[in-house]
Amino acid sequence: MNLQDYIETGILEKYVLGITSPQETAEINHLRKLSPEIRAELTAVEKRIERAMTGTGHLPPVHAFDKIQQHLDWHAETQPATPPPPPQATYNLLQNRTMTISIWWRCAFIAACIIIIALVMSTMYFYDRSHSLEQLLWHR
Amino acid sequence: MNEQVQMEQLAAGKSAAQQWLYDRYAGAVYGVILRTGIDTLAAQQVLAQTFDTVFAALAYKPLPNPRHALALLLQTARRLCPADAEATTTTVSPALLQQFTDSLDTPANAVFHLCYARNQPHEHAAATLQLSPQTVQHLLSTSMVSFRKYLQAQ
Repeated sequence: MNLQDYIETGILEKYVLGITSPQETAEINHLRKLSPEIRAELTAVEKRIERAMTGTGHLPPVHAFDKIQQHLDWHAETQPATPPPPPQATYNLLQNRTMTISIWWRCAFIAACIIIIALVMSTMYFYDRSHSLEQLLWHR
Repeated sequence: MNEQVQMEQLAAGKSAAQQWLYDRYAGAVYGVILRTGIDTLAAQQVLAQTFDTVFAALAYKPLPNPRHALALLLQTARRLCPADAEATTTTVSPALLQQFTDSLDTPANAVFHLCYARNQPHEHAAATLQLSPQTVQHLLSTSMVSFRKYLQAQ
């Protein structure tokens, strides 16, 4: 069956009305991606069906849209907002080149600095103390 | 504002555009839902669910043309309608569709009514009409060829 014969079977009308079987729906979804003729014909069919469907005489009650709107608003409110990413320290090394350092590395660096400073101070303290003891021994 | 801009606004979830699509197609979709035979309260719930689903789908995958949205609305409404609903409402098809169904012969008319209006799967329609599924498929295919010619002639 060629494409024109396929279109003439009314399958696209059936698809737009929503009465195709799942296999037929999958087939048309696949074909519409491949064939510009199917896409063009589908648009024409949709226009014809839109015209045929108007003047239905079954208008939903006025409050029906409010219900949809309320649900959409509620959905938007309950949707968890995406948390902003944690701020990262960024350093300009060279032009157009940046290096990002994690907060854990920064904490580790600060801890290492504190330990080094404590070691240096205790070394100086004990050196000073031993030096003064030595001086005292020499004077005696 | 043209249709393309409205569709872009719909993709962005703007309520004015949602109202625009609803005003345009709610009547047609509501008519399709009512013709499946469900009561008006359930029909309003299905209508709300249908638009809700389609608005979410359009935000995820925008469509360039509102008529594509009509096809999506009709397909979604049929999927959400309960199967085999008891006919509690009397509905009238849009004039053009009514003229078309009147032009069909009795077995084809019955098949088209069950599959299109009452949203029954082919197998259910075959069981209701005591026909083979192949016969139902054949009659529906013949009806669709006639439907295509009928729409083109309008």
